[in-house]
Amino acid sequence: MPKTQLLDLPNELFLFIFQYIKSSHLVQAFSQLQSPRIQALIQPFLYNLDISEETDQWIQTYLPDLFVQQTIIALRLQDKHLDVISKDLLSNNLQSIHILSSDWTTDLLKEGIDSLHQRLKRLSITFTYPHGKGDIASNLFQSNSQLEYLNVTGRFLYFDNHEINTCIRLTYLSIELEGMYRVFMLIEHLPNLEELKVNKNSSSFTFIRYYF
Amino acid sequence: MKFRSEDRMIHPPSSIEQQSINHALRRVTFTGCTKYFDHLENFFAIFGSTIEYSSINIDLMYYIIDGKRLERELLHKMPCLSSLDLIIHSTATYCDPIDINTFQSSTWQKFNPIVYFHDSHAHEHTIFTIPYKSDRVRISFD
Repeated sequence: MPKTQLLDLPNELFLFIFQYIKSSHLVQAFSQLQSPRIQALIQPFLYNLDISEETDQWIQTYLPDLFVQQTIIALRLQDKHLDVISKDLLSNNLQSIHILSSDWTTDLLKEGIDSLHQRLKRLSITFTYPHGKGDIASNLFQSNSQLEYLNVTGRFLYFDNHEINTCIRLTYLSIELEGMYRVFMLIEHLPNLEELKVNKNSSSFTFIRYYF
Repeated sequence: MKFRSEDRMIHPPSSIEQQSINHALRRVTFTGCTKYFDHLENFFAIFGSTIEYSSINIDLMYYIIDGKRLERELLHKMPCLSSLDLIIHSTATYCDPIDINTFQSSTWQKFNPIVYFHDSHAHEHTIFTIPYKSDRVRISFD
């Protein structure tokens, strides 16, 4: 009796198996396999691609070809990898990016935002190191921005009124600010904002317990 | 120079007070910790007219506010409001308990019921709507 090979499996079994594999691991395992059938099968699992835990070597090895071969709609990555992808994005369908920033400085992040804000619809930024700079507002709120959704967590943003511009497309904003002063500034520049979430000084937020 | 303190904000910028701003705000959520509830009141006074959903989940430092003030400064500033989620937690040593009857007006009856806890030993006061949409309030019956 002949051995069953991996590619002998029917499509529905692949779809079942792929549900349990991280998108980046799917890339690693299958993206270079010369099988149009497999490439078509993994495509839906790569629409939302999380490469935020991958190494520099992984990024250099897989990402350039991936943007050519597959359609990626949402991407999660570290800020240090923004420069690798930004030049490839110009010919891609990417609509949403979630950036994890762990650096004290925001230089890489600012460069990345500047190259992305005119083509992305959704941008999330999570600062995993809270004590660094919060000076990215002038990059986020630019007059030619196409962003409709913006979510910045993990660090307060600091800016003055002259540093931000009117963004007519933004309808959703979730942001952390110290005090209300800058909320008023923002709304003045966001005429179509429908949903606003403001987190203030949450570091001192406590759980409330009552015992009877 | 950028001030990094909440104390800077006493009133909204004068340019905003003096002109009406076009905005489309429908859903607004505030979370966190503040000393100045009047800053939130300023916000709703200026931008409240279009808001339909509001969620306020804050630690209010040093004082408490009752239903009358919330009604006057929040609810009346949001005529389109159809949904309100509220948690206001205060640790206020020298404050008397608020009167729960201040939440019994016809305006408050349009929204979810209000619960008020006062722990006189810990000097803690908590007002929240039920069902509360947060895991911050935990109640144990021993």
